[in-house]
Amino acid sequence: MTKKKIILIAIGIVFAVELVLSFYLNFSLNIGTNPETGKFGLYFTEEVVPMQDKINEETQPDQYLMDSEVVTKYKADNPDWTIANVIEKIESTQAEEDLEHIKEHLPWGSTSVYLFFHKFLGDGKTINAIRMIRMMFIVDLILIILALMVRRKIQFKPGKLQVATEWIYDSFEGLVGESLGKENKHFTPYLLTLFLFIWISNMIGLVPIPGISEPTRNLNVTIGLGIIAIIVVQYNAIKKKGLWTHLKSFAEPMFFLAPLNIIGELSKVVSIAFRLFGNIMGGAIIILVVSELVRYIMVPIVLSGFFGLFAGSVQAFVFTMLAMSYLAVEINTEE
Amino acid sequence: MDLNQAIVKAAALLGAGIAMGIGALGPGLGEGFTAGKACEGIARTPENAGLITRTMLIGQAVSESTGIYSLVVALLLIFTA
Repeated sequence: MTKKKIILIAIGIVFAVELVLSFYLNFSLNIGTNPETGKFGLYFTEEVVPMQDKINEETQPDQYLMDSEVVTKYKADNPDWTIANVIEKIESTQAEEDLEHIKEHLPWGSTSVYLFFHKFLGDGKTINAIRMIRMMFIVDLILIILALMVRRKIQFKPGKLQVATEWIYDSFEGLVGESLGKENKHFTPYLLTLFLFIWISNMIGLVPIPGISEPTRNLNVTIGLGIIAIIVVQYNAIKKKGLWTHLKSFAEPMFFLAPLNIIGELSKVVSIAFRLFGNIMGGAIIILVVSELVRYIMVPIVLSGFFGLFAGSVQAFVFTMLAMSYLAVEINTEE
Repeated sequence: MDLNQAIVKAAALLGAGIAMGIGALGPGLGEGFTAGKACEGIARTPENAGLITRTMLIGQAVSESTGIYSLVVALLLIFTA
């Protein structure tokens, strides 16, 4: 037998044993201070979190907080309280255990941040909004730092980073030139930024830290990106054809079909936004469910490879290409 | 959970399963057909492979959207009903 075969068989055996064990053992291995004995080292804890709870916590954090034990306990006495009232009550009565429990649900475990945002948003959206804004800031920071790093050391004899960036920009410019025409190359920065933003957003889901999730998993982000794309398309169509000609193009072929055309334009936003959202959200849920089933042994890497790397890249590319083809339809009508 | 709620929940879960199953049929057929045609195109003109692959990916993503809608409907049924 060759070396390769032995390694493959060993991996297979380890994998099969772990898979079988994972279905029968409800234990997870932890490193740290054992809460029962107080000793530092490896110890086992029993997993009691059901899968539905885990999915709810990941996808509907606000609903999960509202249904949690602590909040329902306080709400039993005062049904019309919001979560802000509950937190204030807990903090004023110095109930340590309840405070610990509720802090597990909040972002950064901080009540003050939650209360600040709760003033504007209310019960059902706060945690989701904080998570989304936090992840969007991280993606924006990555983009800005990347841009500054490239910009700072720009020179005639390029370094590695500059070569890579120029290659990406050049290949994208080629694509834009092919579908929009040589004279419309000034759309490249917008389209490339769109692509990079969505791509980095999707890739961030690969980072295995709890609390880090793709911002594109939130429908608000994708709808926002879709609306921006359609505004760019409409603005450039008006700029190219003139306002009156563009408005008249909605009433084609018959004037009473104008509502249909307008709905068709709006459905573009819904279509590209839901496509991105559905792909990322569906992938995330499948990864979560299967990881939970196999107790986070090996399979999640493969799943992340497919749903995170492959589907994420393809969807980012497709979103950009569709925005570009909408642009091309409006701009290249006269040829 | 009383019986009425349980029936609604069961119907929602069943509906989610059926929506996903039937909704995945069309996109599966469409994407497979697109990939087959792209294969034919690449076999005929291998020098256009890049362009054909790119167009194929966009076409597949567009034909995928009904499947994505059914996924969204299934998620709505599971989480809100």
